[in-house]
Amino acid sequence: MTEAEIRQVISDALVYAAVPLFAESAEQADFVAGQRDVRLDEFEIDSLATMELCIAIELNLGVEIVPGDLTKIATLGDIVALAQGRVNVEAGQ
Amino acid sequence: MLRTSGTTGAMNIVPLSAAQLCVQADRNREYDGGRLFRPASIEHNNSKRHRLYCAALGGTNVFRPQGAFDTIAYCRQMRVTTLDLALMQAVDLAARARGEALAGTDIRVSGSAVPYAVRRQIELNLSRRLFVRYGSTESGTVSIAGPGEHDAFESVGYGVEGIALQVVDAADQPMPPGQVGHIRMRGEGIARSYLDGAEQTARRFRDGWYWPGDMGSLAADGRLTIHGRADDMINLNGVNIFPAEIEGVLEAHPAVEAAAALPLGSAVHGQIPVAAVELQSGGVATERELVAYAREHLALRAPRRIIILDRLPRNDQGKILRREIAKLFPNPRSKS
Repeated sequence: MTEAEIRQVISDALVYAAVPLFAESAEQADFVAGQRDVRLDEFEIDSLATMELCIAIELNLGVEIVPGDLTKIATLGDIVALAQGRVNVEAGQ
Repeated sequence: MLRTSGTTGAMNIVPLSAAQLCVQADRNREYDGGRLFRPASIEHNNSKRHRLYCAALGGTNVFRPQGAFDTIAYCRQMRVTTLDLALMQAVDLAARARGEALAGTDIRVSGSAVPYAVRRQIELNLSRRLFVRYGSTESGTVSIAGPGEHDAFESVGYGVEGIALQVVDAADQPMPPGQVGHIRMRGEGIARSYLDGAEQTARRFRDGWYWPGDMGSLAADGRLTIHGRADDMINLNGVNIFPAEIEGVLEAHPAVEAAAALPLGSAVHGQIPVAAVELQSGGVATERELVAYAREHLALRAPRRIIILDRLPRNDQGKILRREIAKLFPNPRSKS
């Protein structure tokens, strides 16, 4: 799983959870391309959206993330790093 | 001794005495003097029991001929008065027949919840004398919805005489009309235990009641509607979701022929709802489109992932094998 794929999973989950500011923004493409980070508070990512993020990461990446893991996290880039770190641990890298 | 497995995989042996079987037979009086045809093999215990009922009541059992045959022509030729079909057979036959092809014949359908659209098609294309039956190996027939009792409630009718039927909550308290809970029943003719498997006996035969493991609701007038198997219920972070509600939405999509929803186990969320669909011939849809469509209609209760299969795996009775589908989801860490 590449970083771009992980970014796509996270972007899809936010669109799915209907986070309107994110779904309609130009930042969506920039985030997937790795050219921009996104602050969670900036896009009003609420607890339901956070749950959808965790579900999407678990279903698509096979990595369990509890919503509590995300309380210390400020940006989507941090989530990418967290997911990527765990995917790599799983893969024994 | 009847073996029952259902779709859960565990096999149980149900001991029923001749007296109990006779009580069960009496709840199917229409076999008396009639001619019963069931295309299903007598190896199926449901088929075996109903043929025994028919014999006990003095009716005639019609057996399937060798090789391929036309069900409608054969029923006419053999003067069949009751045609008993599994849901899948009924759907197939009603789709091919036209203009009450078996007018006057009783059509009995059992085995699973029967959607209203399927009932309408049977009434129009096969016979208006449609009976939708709810029952089990352990209990025999428990309720029947007869002609004039088919509507959007998709009910299985009123309980038969001699069986007390209740819908209760998690604390075993009867629930108000319309609310969904666990079905339980008691009465003569119902098995008291399994011959093997003390654990299953303790689960299914408790406090003097038989608990079939189905979720249902009773209307104010006493009609029962089945909502699904308790074991199939999906619990996503405390939200209870029935596969049938997801399946109903997906099957309303113009490209979808059939759908099956199921949980994937999750240490974090309890269970995550997912689904598999079979497309109509010529139907076009992507997994992404279907996920978005389901989300629009089901919100929090939507399946988070949908896979498209050439055919949904079924047993030879037409029941969808959800456990087989669960194995097809690619994530190695999802447990079901």
